[in-house]
Amino acid sequence: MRSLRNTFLVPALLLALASGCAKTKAYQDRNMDFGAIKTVVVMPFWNLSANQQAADRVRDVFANALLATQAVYVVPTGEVARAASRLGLATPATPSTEEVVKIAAMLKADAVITGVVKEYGEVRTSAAASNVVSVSLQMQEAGTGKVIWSGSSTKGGVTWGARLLGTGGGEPMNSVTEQAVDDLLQQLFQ
Amino acid sequence: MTSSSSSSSSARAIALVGALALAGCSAARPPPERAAPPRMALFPVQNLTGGRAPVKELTAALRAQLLTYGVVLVPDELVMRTLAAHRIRFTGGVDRETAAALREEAGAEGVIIPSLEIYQAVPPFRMAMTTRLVNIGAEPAIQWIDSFARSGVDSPGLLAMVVLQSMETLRDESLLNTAVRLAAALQDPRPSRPCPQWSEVPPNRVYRSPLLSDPSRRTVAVLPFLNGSGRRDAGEVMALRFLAPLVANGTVKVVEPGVVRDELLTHRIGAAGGISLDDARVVLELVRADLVLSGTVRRFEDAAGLSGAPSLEFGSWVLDRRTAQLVWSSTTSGAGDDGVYFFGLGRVTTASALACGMAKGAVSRMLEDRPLLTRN
Repeated sequence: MRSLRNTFLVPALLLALASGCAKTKAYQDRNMDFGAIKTVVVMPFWNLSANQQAADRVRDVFANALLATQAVYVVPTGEVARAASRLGLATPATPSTEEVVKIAAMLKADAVITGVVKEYGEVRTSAAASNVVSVSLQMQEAGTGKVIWSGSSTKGGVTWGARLLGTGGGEPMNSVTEQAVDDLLQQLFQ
Repeated sequence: MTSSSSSSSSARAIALVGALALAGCSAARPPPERAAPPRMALFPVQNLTGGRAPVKELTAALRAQLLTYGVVLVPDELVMRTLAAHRIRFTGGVDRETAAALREEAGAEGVIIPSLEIYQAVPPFRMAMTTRLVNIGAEPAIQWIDSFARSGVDSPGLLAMVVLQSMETLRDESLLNTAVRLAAALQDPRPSRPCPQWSEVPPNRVYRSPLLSDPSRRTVAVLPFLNGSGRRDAGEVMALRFLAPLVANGTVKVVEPGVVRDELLTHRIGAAGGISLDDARVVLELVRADLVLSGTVRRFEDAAGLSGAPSLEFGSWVLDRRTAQLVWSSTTSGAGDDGVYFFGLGRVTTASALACGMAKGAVSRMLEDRPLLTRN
């Protein structure tokens, strides 16, 4: 009986502990040579937040941060808009696999990044308020449209300290966005 | 006594001979010919405040100050008649057609273009304006540009005794400074600093291609920024605020925005969602520029009340004509009270002043290792 308890209880506790510690879940295709990716298209992000400009803001910060790494070249947003218009993409934020392949070929890119902004703005508890951003991204390979990387990040929110002391404000929205973008880039380049 | 009187008389004689010699020299030399001061056309103040502003009164006040400081202006009626004859309504820039009309019909050699960015006539009073002088030779070219952004509480002093009590004081002081600087620039052309060094704000994230260091890429066209903020005309204000540090930097030649605007309108370029590389290349060919600078303003908020601080957020990019690639991309965000801890020291009180510091920071980083342009 005692050995049976140890057999099930200890792994269950360890699993619970590990899942509690894990903040983000990223997927990376181990067979993909990420060093071969030189040019990337960042598509408009899908906006699920209440703020109408959230997707554009996060995309702007992400594209610039990706360029700033000097690891890849990001196609300018105007060029992406023109290509999406020429291809007649009804929903550029959620392209199909064929559309990803086509737009990558048109822009001579090696990969296409699509994303979803799930939360963007202020969250409130009874006594405290703070800014929060939640973003999920995925990268698709240009030739096949296969997903080769996927990651998500949530930053900001009301901390325990703020909850206890009832403070408001937190960090500015742009700082929180940059933190989330940094987290995503870390997942991408790890 | 004798020796002293003889020495004093000989000294007097030497001085007299010296004075006569000098007088003779000066009489022999022809009087220096002073070139006639150039005639300038003053455009009406362009309203970029996003609201109402007394532009007629401001134009009249600026005209009076410029005349006081010896700037020769083309009569207002003549400027207006010329603009009306050519159906020119836009007075925020000078294109080639406007330049030719003013040159030939009004006899102007340059155009003064004031653009009002902020005008808040209630306490705490605020005013911001960019003024540029455009030389209207064969190709309109920016000769001088200067801007100010002030509020009534910029220097409150001990116990707030130096807080400005009226908008007229702020307006008159600011326009006076502009007139003095412009008159000085006409006498001795030199670039003026757009805003104090301490107010420079570096960008948060930067991508800079080594191609930007190439001295052969020397001409920049600045397009109005896309406006994603709630504030009307924020894109134009941001582009104007980039002009001054670019000109002052002295390492690039900046195309007059009026010329760029004319080409954009003629070729119907500038759709929402950003300019494409094809469009950028067309613009660059038309205005004979190597680089095009633009961006997106995400937030442009002025301070609310006495204690509030302005906040700004924008991204800027530069496209290169030859490689058709992005050579610069940056994001900048901040507030007027960033880094202010003691007694409000270093607080920026207007969005335009903050934009100036941020634009200056971006331009400093963008053109950091370029050689100065040689005059040819």
